[in-house]
Formats: sequence, structure tokens, C-alpha cells
Amino acid sequence: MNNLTVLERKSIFVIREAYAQFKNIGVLWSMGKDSTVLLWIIKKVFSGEIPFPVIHLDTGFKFPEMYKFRDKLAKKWKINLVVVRNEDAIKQEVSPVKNNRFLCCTKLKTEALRDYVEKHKFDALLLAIRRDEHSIRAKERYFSPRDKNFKWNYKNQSLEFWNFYKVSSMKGVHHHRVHPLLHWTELDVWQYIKQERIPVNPLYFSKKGQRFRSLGCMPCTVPIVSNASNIDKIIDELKGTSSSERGGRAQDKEKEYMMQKLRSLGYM
Amino acid sequence: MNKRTNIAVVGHLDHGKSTLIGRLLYDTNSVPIEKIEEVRKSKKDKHSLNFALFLDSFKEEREGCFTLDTTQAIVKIRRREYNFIDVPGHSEFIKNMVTGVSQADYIVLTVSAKLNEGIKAQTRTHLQLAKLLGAKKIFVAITKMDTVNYSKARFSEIKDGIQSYLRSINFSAKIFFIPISAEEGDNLIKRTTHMKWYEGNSLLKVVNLHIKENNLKKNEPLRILVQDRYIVKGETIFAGHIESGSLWTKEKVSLNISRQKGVVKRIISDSRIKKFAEKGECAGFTLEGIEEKKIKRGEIISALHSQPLVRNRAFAEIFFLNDYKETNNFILCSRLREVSCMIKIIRRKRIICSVNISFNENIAIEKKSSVLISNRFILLDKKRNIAGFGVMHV
Repeated sequence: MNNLTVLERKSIFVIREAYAQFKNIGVLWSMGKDSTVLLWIIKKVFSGEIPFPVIHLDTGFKFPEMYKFRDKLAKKWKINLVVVRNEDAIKQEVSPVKNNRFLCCTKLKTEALRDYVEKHKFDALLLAIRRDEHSIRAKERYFSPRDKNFKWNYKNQSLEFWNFYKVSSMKGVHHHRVHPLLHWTELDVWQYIKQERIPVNPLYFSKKGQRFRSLGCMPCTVPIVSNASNIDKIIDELKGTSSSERGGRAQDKEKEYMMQKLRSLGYM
Repeated sequence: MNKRTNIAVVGHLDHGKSTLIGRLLYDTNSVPIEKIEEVRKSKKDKHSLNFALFLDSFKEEREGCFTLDTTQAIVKIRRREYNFIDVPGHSEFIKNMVTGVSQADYIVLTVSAKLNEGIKAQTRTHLQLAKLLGAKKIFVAITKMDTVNYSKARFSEIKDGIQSYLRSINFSAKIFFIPISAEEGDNLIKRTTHMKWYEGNSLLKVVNLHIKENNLKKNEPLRILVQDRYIVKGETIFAGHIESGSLWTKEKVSLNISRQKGVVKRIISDSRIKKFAEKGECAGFTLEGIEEKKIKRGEIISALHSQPLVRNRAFAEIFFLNDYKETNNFILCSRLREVSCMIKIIRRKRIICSVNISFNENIAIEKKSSVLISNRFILLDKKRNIAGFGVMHV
């Protein structure tokens, strides 16, 4: 049995558990490789369809290729796509340049999501975060409760045994974050993309000696030096690399505890 | 690529769990360079590299020098991958510790050789929990050997202490002792020259010799756990997780909770029609000859010739996370079902309670050793807080 089969089975189990235990769920899609893989597995679980809304948190700062990829795939996979934007903040021209990165992420992503979840009374959101992306995310659970302020109570996380992914009994739970890909690594994701032939954004492939390893907003994401122009070359590159996947993402490296602070406020 | 091996590192606080994993990550080049830079720059760590900080990343953890919650990190050596699970050693974070251990294939117990450290309260608690959770093998890493001049006498003292404690709790797991120093990198991946008296292998080598691929066992009985049912184009498809054994189309099966019999008509897995589904698979299937409405989440499906027991009482061993009164009402969660129950404590031995449980509904209990693991459960109190966990016996 191959490793990817084991990983996929666990993800399917978690997705089914979430669907069985929550009434109103949605999935976040950033059009990046991880959340696209998540959509692919959800399609497998539900015989080719995604039976809930697919939410894109649009900051307006995404790469043109990402919007193009989004619209193409949404049509092909018959996705119930919901684009969520914090229009007030966009009108006020909140940006990482004019303001700071922390405020920008909080306004355009965290608050946009908060308003949307509040309005549509979601009780669970599926997210494609992985433990190996960041040591703060490594502390997460598969089912992770958030309070009405979207706070992640990381000091008192729920217990998660064996295959018991229980809806938390903690007081004041507003909604749950469900993380079906928590146990995957970056390399697993690429190997799975290859195996399953999942479409990915062309920005991941090298052009003129550069490629994006992780995709975020344009002002806060920088490409890496790379000649990996196809999936096989990316897999080879990752096997030999010693730098971090999110090295090109500004919100991770600015300060030691930036990710913890962002996440405790409801960031992904 | 082989299946990843999950290894939990347990032990008393400050006995070097995070440091051990951090060192392994470092020595195998599994830490991104950015992370090494970040750890080098952090205030607590001016002189040498603090390996534990590769894992302890919360502000509270770094400032307080302890692990608050469980975390995981992958160590790659040649073609093998190990997923190391770090857990907190403080008694108040025991639920985080068990959350970590419950995902492990193997357990490494750290015991510090340092003067005045040795076998402590949480060393004993973690061994008792390992027993309750059904561990068959324990790898004991005797850490900080560099602080006692790599003394063989100190190693033997702790080894004897652990062995006599295991006898006192009747724990017959296979046990292996490896003297290490994570700080110096002794006996983690390669054998060190610092302890010529030690004739065994390095920690990873010892673990490696015991890893077996999770092969299908021929005589495992079929058990399917029904997670949900989906209506696809007017047809009811049951979403099941195959706990053990294998499922074939046209097989006659017993539905143990709703007490029905039926026949497997079609198996759909990975968007394809299949004749067969194996252990571990999350398959979809349709059934004939049954009343669909009676089938609820948590239904257990087995082959007619090898069914679990279906009872409304059981004997169990429980670890309570808090103190509870002698007799009480709880909700027992087992195999996706929640069943109200009454618990009566027969006796308490150290931290484990032997109890009688009577259920409001019938529950499936396994008697075959190959599937005994399915008898584990968690307990919720009336307010749905997690009260404890345990294992049922017939």
C-alpha cells in the first residue's frame, strides 16, 4: 500500500466525519495546490460533486493567473463558488504597503471571513492547512473549535483520540475549523497531484528561473529561484531542499510570533 | 514510498522529549534553514542551539521552556520516514499527551539520567497509560547521559527501576533500553563512541528493526463502521470505514446494532465500482434485503460467521481525567456512537479504575484479540466534557 493511499483514506474519513456531524459547512479555496487537492478529495467522497459552498477569500491582491485558474476550474468542476470580500476595507484601500501586513491580513482575510461566516451561520469550515507548513499549524487538531471572536484557544485544545473527531463540548464554540490535510507534507501533496493528475496553477512552474512555491497575495509573496518547470522537477527539487515552503510568504517571517498572533485572531 | 511510522515520545517534564526530536530533525536536515535561523536568534538561546525550539513554537512554550500541546514533525532518513509526535510532560496537560499518543504506532519513553531526575511521577503515569492504550512495545531512551559521564551504573539503575515498575503494574510489553544524549547526538541515529559498554544499536536502528508493514492479516474478521449515508441519484450509499478484514460484493453480512442481515450489492470506492474493499479503506457500498431507515451512524457490519458480541453491559478499565463520584451517568463514545451508561467503580489501582458499565442500548464488544483495539472508548460527562477514556473487556 502506498503512503498516499494511507493519507487519502484518513482525509476521507475526516471529511465524512465533518459532513456527518455539522449541519452547515463550507470549504475555503485559495486556488493554491493544497486547497485544490482538498476539493479533489471532497469530490471523491461525494461521487464527483462538492455538496457545499466553496469559499474564496478575495483580497483583490491575488495574481491574475489565480483568478483565471479559479474561474476555469469552478466551471469545469461545477463548483458552487462564493467570492467573499471585505468591500469596506477594499474601498478604504487597505494594503500591506499603506498599512502593515498584520492589519492587512486581519482586515481583508480574517474579518471578511468572519462577516461571511456570521451572516450564513456556518458551523464548520474545511481548510487545507498542513502541520509541516509551520510549527504553529503543527499544533492544530483535525476538528478545531473557534469562539465568536474567531479565537483559537490553543491553550486548551480539545482532546482528539484515535478516530474520534468529536464536535467539541467547549463553552462558547461558534464554529469549527476542520483540517482534513493536516497530516500531509508539501512533498505528499505534489506526489498526489502527479498521481491523480490534479490541475494546478501555472504560477507553481518555473519561468525564467523563478517559480512560486506557495501562493498568497501579490505584494506579500515572492518567487523562489528554481528551474522546476513541471511536476516531476518540483518533486525532485523538494526532495533536496532545506528551505521552508512558506519562505516566500511575508506574514510568516516578519516576527517570531506573527503566525501565532494572526491565527489566534482567526487567520487560517 | 513506505507508510510513514508514527512514533510518540513521552516521559516526565524536562526529561528531553522535545530536545530528542529536535536533535533528530537537525541531524537529518529535516529543519528548514529559516527555522534554524529563527531558533538561533531567539533570546533564550544565545550560546548553543536549543533543539527543543524546533517544536516548541508558542510564545508561552518558548518563554516558559516547556511543551504545552502535542505537535508532530517528520524525520527523513534515506527511504524511511518517521513522524515524531511530541507531547507535553506536565500532568495538567495529560489530555494533550494522550491525543498525541493515540496517533502513534510506537512509543519512546524518555527518562533522564541526570542526577535527581530519573524515574518520576509522569514516567510512571505514562507507562500506565501506555498499558491502557494497548502498547505492545516500549522503547526507553535514557536521556542526558552526558550529564552523568555516560555512567553505565546510572543507566542500569534506571533500567532496573523501570523493569521492576512494569512488573508491579503487570505490564508485559517488550521493552528496549537505549542510553542517549540528545545534546551531544549520542546513539540517536548512529552508535556513539562515548559509551563503549553499550552493545546495542542506536535508537532509530532499534525502532527500525521492529517496524513491520501493516500487512493484511488473513484471519481478521470483517468489521465496517458506518459513518454516514448519502443519496446519490436516488440510491442510498453507505459510507463505511473498514476497520478490519475485507469486504466482497455478494457477501452476506450482519448489521450488529440494528440486528439485521443483508447482502452487499455494490462497492464504490474512489469513484469506481469494485468487487472488493480492504482494511483501512473508506468505501461506499449498497445493501440489499435490509431496512435502510434502521441503519444509523455507528452501525457495525460483520460477516455472518464472525460477529462481535452485542451486550448492554461490560467490564472496563478507565483513566479518569478528573475525579468523579463512585457511581455516575456518562456518555460512552465508541466507534462513532454515543450511548448513555452508568458506571460503577469496582476498584482503583493507582490511576486506573476497574469498572462495571451498564448501557441504555446495546453495544458491540470484540472478543478476538486481532480486533480488541476496537473496544476502546472515550467518556463524556453530562455536560459533554471529556471525562476519561478506557478499554472494554467481555
